Amino acid sequence: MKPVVIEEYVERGLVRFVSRHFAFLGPESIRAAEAAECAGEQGGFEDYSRLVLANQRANRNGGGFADTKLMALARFAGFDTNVFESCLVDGKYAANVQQDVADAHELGVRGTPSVFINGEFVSPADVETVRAALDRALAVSGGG
Amino acid sequence: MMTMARVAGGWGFRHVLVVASLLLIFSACDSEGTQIGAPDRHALGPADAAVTLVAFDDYQ
Repeated sequence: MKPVVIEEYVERGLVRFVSRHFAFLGPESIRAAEAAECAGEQGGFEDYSRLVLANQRANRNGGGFADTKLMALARFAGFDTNVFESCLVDGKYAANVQQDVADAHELGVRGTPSVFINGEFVSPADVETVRAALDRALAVSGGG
Repeated sequence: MMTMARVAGGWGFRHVLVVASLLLIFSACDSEGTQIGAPDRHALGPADAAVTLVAFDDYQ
């Protein structure tokens, strides 16, 4: 859904896309989210996020996103690995990820991806539903 | 009639005070409540876009 929204709406300046974490599937979800934040520190949140998602494995919390793997992905993406490792090991963004998860719970989020458009919950978050909701919101706002 | 007018005026003023107090309380609650799109550390697209999409996601 995200690549389509970015190509069709964000790159045309129509929509702002905000990514937040709902790391609820276990410890490796949390570490992956923290790693993405560390990548963001080096200006690579989106690139690293795509890389992590492309390396998803079927067995959750089975080592696919262990710190060593997250480090390897950072190295592959060309980040400063010393800075990245310090960031990840120190849990520099752990509180930010926890805050996102807490906010998601407070907003009633139960699964992923969960999408809100101008504050309205949109379900299911598939391409067609989100596209239709965006078109409606743009029509209402006069921004389409 | 004068008495009725005074009473009505008095209740009107009290109503204004009550409504104003409630508005203050609600606005305070809103400012401290959860904001869907904030923080927006990782946002793409113009900050002044008419439409904002917020996606909560997990990497696993």
